[in-house]
Amino acid sequence: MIATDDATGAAAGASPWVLETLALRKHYAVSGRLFGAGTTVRALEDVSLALAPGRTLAVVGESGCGKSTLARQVAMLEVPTDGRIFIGGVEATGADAATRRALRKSVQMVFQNPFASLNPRKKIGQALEEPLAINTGLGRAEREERGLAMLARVGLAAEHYRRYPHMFSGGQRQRVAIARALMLEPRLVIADEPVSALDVSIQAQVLNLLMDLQESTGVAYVFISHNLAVVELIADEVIVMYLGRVMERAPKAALFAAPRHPYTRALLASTPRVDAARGEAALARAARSALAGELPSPLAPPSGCVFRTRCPYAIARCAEVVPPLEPAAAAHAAACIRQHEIA
Amino acid sequence: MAPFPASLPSLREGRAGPGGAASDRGTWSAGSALLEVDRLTVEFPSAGGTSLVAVDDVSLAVAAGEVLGIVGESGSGKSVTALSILGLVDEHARVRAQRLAFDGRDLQRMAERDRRSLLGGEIAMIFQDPMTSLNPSFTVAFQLMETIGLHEGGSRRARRSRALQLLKDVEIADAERRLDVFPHQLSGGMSQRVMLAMAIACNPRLLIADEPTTALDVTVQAQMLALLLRLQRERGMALVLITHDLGVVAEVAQRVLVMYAGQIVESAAAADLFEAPRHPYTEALLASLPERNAGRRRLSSLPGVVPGAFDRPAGCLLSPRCPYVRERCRHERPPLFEVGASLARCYYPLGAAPRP
Repeated sequence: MIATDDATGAAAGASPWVLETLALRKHYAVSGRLFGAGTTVRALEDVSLALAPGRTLAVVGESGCGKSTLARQVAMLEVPTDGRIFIGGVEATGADAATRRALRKSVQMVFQNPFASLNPRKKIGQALEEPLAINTGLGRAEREERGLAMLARVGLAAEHYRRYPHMFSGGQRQRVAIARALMLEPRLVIADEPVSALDVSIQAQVLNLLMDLQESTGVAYVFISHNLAVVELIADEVIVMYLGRVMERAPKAALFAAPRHPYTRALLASTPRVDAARGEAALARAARSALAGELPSPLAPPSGCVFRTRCPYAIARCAEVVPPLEPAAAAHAAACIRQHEIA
Repeated sequence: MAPFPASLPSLREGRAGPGGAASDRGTWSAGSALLEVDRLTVEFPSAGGTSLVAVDDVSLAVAAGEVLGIVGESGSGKSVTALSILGLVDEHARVRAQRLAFDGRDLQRMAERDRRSLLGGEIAMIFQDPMTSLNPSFTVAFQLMETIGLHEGGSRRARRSRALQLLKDVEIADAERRLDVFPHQLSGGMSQRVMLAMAIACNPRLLIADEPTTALDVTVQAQMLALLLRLQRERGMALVLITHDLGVVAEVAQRVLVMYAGQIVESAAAADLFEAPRHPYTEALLASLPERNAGRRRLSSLPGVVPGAFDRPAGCLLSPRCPYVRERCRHERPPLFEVGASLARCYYPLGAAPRP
């Protein structure tokens, strides 16, 4: 998943990765008190990843872990503080306006809340045609033809084309949002919690749709989610984030079978499951897996390992060094100095 | 948690028409249950003259010290059921019930004053979004002391020390310092703990928790559920947990009601429900969970959507989506039938003979 082999030497444009980031950082300035010094939130620290075409990379973490910040950098909605982003081998960071515009076509986004992400004053057809009108020279009839074809692919009927978003349920709206994202045939879709707002039976329909579309179009997904059960289904690779840093990266099967980082383990243990122990045993399990405390303030993250304040395995040394992702060259790596002791 | 018998014949919900269904009267003896709800229907009148039936003929009983889960998707009526029991629904709603009783006292005939003192006292409720449930203009101590003052009185000093003890009971770290902060200074998990402290302030015998962990991160949710269960057990409090999350229900509840489009479609002990669902909707919900689809390429999913207010089918409400639908289902609306130790609203319950 990470460009560690011969791929790093490949010429731009011939990259095996549809998306690659190197040591990405994003800091936000927060204004201080009156006449006081401002401070910075380190929303993203040293995030490197790579995603192959047609694959799904899941980014997992709780609120404040930086997963949506990562999405905004990769979608070129914000300019990162430091680090580099490559889309299909072409560098997006520091690129000129024309290059960025061209790259934007190949990266699209689907958001969590389909009630907020569709313009209530635009008919579905208009929403689908707008990307074509802006980015292509297609005529009206041709745009409509493509819009209708895309609507059919996401499982909606032609009669829906001239309706407004308020006439649709949440699941249908999310289908429209997915259709809109695919109109320009992007190579990469960033889906930020795309099924979190949906009921469980609708969630299954939308997840199936996303997987079907990937199979037929070869699009790659960055799938951002807090729900490990969903990730286990849809991902090929997973990165687990906490307070702006990558805690663990691994192929899906390895992560779920043998998580290495204490935070990943805690996440897995705290996810309620229908086939887990019930009653007395559930209580015992919950008590065992419950992490102490809550996320520290991102304004004043702990020194050393950011997870140490809640980690059951923390020792004095954890406060001194920021643990790197190890082994650096391996597909499965964790940022924990004690990962071998606690395995 | 007290051991839970596989079936509670004294606490059968539901009524059914003639012919082998759960018998109509006296399936639970009045007085044995802490909360009794018999044939609750809640309608919201709409401009067109038709009205939205949000809760349709719901009967349930909660025993003292029991943990009951109510699970359903959005619009299934689970929250409105709870709110209307407490008299907290919008005033335009038409609430009808054969009987709504708490501890043998009739909630419908009770004077408004008495009902208000019951709420927050013997019956408490916590909601999904702690940020909007707390008043942003007052400190944690003020809001806790107000609740204690209303129901129990006592001197300022006594109330303050009770408030501190409550914050400790809900495992808030550094409780002394948290007393004098405002809600915006608390995290989501911490706010929900304060809500819980307020809810248990008067030692309620029944706590209704409506999606109490939905807004929380998963590690904080685990803490919160463990805390809820500990308090429930230590205080012998009955807990009604309303949620859309089947995983949460599976781990916490002893008995579960599954709601769909305003109706209870299945009622069963938690173990039975998750191991041998009787209603096709329950089965479909469980089958669509990613964790029940390990190794498969696609999730099993129920086609279509929950019927809206104005397009309810004539027969069984699930019939347009049900994989087992038969002719009869499209015309007749099934009552709740006894199926093994469970109740299911289906003429063709899973793993049992068809109902006449």
